[in-house]
Amino acid sequence: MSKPDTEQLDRLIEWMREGGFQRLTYSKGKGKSITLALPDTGGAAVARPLRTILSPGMGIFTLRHPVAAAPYVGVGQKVAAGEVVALLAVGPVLTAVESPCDGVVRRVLAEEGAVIGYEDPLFEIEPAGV
Amino acid sequence: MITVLSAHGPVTIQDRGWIGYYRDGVSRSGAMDRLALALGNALLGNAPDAACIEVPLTPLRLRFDTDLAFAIAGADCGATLDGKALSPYWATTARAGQVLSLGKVRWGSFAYVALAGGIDVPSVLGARSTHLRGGFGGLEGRPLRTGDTLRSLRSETVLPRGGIGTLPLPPLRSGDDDTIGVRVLPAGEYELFTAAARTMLWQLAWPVSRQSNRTGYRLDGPPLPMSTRMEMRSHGVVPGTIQVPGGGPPIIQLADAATMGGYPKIGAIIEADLWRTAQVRYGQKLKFIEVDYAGAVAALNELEAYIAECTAVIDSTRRALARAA
Repeated sequence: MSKPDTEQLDRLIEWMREGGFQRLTYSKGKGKSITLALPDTGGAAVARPLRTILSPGMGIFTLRHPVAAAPYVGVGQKVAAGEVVALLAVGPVLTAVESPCDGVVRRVLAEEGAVIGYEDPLFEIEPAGV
Repeated sequence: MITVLSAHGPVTIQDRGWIGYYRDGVSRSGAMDRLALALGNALLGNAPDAACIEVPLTPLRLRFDTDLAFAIAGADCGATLDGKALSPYWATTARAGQVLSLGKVRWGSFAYVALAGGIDVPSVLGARSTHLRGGFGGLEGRPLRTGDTLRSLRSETVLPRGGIGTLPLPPLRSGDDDTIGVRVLPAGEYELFTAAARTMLWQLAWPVSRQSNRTGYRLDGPPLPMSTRMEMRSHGVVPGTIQVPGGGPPIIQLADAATMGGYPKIGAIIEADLWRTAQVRYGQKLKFIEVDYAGAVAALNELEAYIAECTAVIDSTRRALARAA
């Protein structure tokens, strides 16, 4: 028996949260099924609205500083309020996109290298619980 | 106002240095990386001749005693403001009490901290640079030390929320990150070196020795012989000049070099690449790329156009913010 791929499970849980599903059953033929259930938290954890980060300006959407090895953030990563999550480039000049709140990055809504306008949606953040 | 909490090595105040005092024996001095100085000032809307802090060795810690806009430029050394990472070549506003920390160097050699309006020290002979050998300029003509306080000529500048930055220029040659290409003009005595010496100049990658500082860099490598023994009277030497003392390996004269020298000159690093030279550190190598005079002038025009482009975009961003406010 091969080792369980927990990464795939994590992804399924991700989709459940995004879609607002409490229970998910996946079956592959007779006797081969798995059921995932999110803990019942009165719906609060599931229904917590995602917050969209809108572009503060115009420029080329840049997820990684050109001299940095890694992008500022990735999906599933925790961010703090005021933390830089991406850059907007106009020629050689860069401005920052900041997270408005503490939370977890759930989705990147713009393509790296895309031309972004003012208030275009860039990220979905799941705000941290109170 | 800022206070130096800790400094290592000769941290000095530098601007563009002295122009027009060569005949009096005053070297140009000024920032080793003049591109970083220009970009740091541009990010804050400062005059191009505003003075900043040059940091040859980290760590360095500074405390902001008042709210103050500042920029970092040059060497990428994991700068943080109260522990929060700052991107390279970046300007933002610090709150009173916050601490700017420059840490482990990931790229380059000289880091710069610019303050809104520039650093408020007296101008001596038209410059605010520190002349270490002469013991004048900057702050009492000496390196900064723990406990020093510095004022800036302005505290505020309009910056976007989250700050503003510029892109560093890419290297001239790709591949080996530890061999840095710089463009060189053959100099006065170039033809008097043997053909083998001239070939070695262009072919070898020259390691920068530990005996390298603001005055000049000593390179490791084979001696470069001349075809005829010669002696010269001392004559004017500009930053970037590559001299070959007594048939030994070359030395490069830089910002704080003496205004005169008598060693034969095999080449000169062009003005446009002096900032690249400044950012080479001990353990890395220099690779000389031959250019002619027209190429050197074109490279300088290109560098100035880049600074002008950055300045124009930064200024228009700032104007748009000011209109919206």
